[in-house]
Amino acid sequence: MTLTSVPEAATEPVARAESPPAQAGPPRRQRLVHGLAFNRIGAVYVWLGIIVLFSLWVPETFPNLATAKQILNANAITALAAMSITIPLAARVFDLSFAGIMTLTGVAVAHLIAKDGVPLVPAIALALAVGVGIGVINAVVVVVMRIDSFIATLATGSLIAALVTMVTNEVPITDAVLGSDFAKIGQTSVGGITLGVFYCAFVAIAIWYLLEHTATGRRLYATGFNPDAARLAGVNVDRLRFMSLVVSGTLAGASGIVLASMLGSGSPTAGTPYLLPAFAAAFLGATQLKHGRFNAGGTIIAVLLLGTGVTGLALANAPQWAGDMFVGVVLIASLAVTGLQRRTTGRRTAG
Amino acid sequence: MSIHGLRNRAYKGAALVVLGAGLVAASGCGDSDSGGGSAAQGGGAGVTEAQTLAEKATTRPTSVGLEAAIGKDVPAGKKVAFISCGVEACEIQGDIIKQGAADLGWSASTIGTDGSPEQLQNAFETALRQGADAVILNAVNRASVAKQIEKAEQQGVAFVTCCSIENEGDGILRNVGGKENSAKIGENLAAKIVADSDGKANTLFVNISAFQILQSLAGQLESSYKQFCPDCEYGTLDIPVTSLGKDAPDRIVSYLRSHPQVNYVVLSVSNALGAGLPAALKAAGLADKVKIVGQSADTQTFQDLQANNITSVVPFDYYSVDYLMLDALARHFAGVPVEQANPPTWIVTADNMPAQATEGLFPVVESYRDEFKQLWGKG
Repeated sequence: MTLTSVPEAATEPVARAESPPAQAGPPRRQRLVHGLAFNRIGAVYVWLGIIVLFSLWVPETFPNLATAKQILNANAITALAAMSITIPLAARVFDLSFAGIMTLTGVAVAHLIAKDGVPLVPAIALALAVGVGIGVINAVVVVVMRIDSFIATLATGSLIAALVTMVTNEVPITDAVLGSDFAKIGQTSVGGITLGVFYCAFVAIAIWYLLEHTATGRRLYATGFNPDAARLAGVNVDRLRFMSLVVSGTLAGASGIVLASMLGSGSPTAGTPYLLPAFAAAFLGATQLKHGRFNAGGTIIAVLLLGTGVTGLALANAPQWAGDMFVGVVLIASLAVTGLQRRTTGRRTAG
Repeated sequence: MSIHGLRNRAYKGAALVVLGAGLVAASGCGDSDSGGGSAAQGGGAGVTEAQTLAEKATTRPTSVGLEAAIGKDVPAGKKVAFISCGVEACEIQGDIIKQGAADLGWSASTIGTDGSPEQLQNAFETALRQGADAVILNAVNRASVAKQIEKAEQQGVAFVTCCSIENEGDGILRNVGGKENSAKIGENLAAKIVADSDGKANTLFVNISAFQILQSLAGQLESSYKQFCPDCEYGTLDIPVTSLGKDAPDRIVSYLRSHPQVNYVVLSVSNALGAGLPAALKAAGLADKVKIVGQSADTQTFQDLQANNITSVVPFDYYSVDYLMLDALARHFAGVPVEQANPPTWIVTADNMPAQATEGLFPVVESYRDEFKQLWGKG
């Protein structure tokens, strides 16, 4: 038997092992279908449905740019508040003191500017430092003292309320100076959209990036899903929980300063009304995009969904109870869906 | 059915529930007001009447309205317990009551509560146990402290209140600034709007129906408004308590957007409903299209008045109200009939606003303290 010659191009050394063919990902169409599936962005479809509903119901006033701007402007603070608790919730840490922090930093910055004559920027920095400080205190109580976060932050929230009363005696801090440069922080609008909306967008993008594109984000979720497993895998769970509360305090503090700017005063009750709406938005947002994981995009969708419903009902002159009913129903439905998601995911994983 | 299928059905079911809730809310809705039409033509006898009343109401009162001196010695050393309801208005009044009590040669203590019925009852019991000669509790709801009022009456402890819808008698010695006063404010606000607009107003009244004392204001405001200007449009918007400090401004903006002819907004409680409203109106491009009037004000409200974000406001005169309550107690302990004077009302605008309004409380009647001391024989 003789070896026949082969063309040179064919004489590639065969010592190089042939690699198995690359695993082909799902086709783009399939990824698109999966991304637009109802179980991922169902709230978006509900939101679109609500938009259609109100557009037909109140065609004179709802379907226009002014309404869109109104919804954005009216819900900017709620979205900021919800953002502030998204990171700790991702790590399965509750921060019920964020509303109190919002109030405290608002009162602090107003007091510093109006009563103490501190210039604007240092006053804001000091007030923000108050928020950071409360976050650190929360972190010490929860992580170092090992007190359950729900109870611990409920307690610190109560202490904050006492501090606010001590400082303000339940009287809003007002002064003409709070209506000048300080007010511009929250009341300036660009194209009819207040700066609060832009702050919210910035924070949302930052949190999205952190949670979705950094190792820290992955570790936060791992901590939230199973802290023991995460710890065994080498994740510094305590440090992550600690930092999540510090971040929460910081963001809540910033939200409080923006809120005080919008009100033009340091109100001793400013943050309290945002406690439940922020948690509602965060929990509703967890049912979107990420299958039960708290995330920035889902939170924004939730705020917009709830805000659109409430504003739409107001434009339609619905009874005063309609807005609260709408929010309650949406929240229950979304949490029921989240529960089903977790159960079916768990069964699929176990199976 | 597979888990996947079951899950998808659940999602779609949830979405239908949400949309269904929207439709239920829609079916229950109705236009709760008659506002939204065009403005009236203006002028007329009603407008003239409104202008006369508005001019009088805008003039700062110089007397608390009490004329009869007590004429007898007011016993000294009485102990007054003030039960604070926990909100800003009550916190402020504690100091005024202490001052007034001191003017009478009495002492006063404040018992703090969070306003809940349980804490109010406890506070009342505490006041009785501490041997108070008189108890003051604002905006009392008789049913929530009925037992304590009865007990106080049995023990000879006098009880006075303000700003309540309850009738006097059966343990309530005096209710200062009740329904009658509330109605007077409503009439004054109606006059101010009609006069200011020269009979061309289209008005929205924003109310918090949970505060029952405002019913008198609401009723008289509408009645007087229609009397002064029958052609002027009038609408109402009720804000739930849960919206205060949250989405109340958004609700008002929504109403104004759906009723673009409205040019006057009356806030039944300016400080509660006005928080964040000027900013919301500005963001919606409505700040120049409506004028805001209201009753009850804090320093923020006066800041807004000074900045022309609000047109006029009837402030709650803490000083007159508290001193009238103490006056009732003084007359009671002196053994003379209790006078039924109402606290003076004053429509404050940017032009007649006192300089100190943006810094803190101020008395409507500047000489109130001297006046009361003279009536009490302490001046």
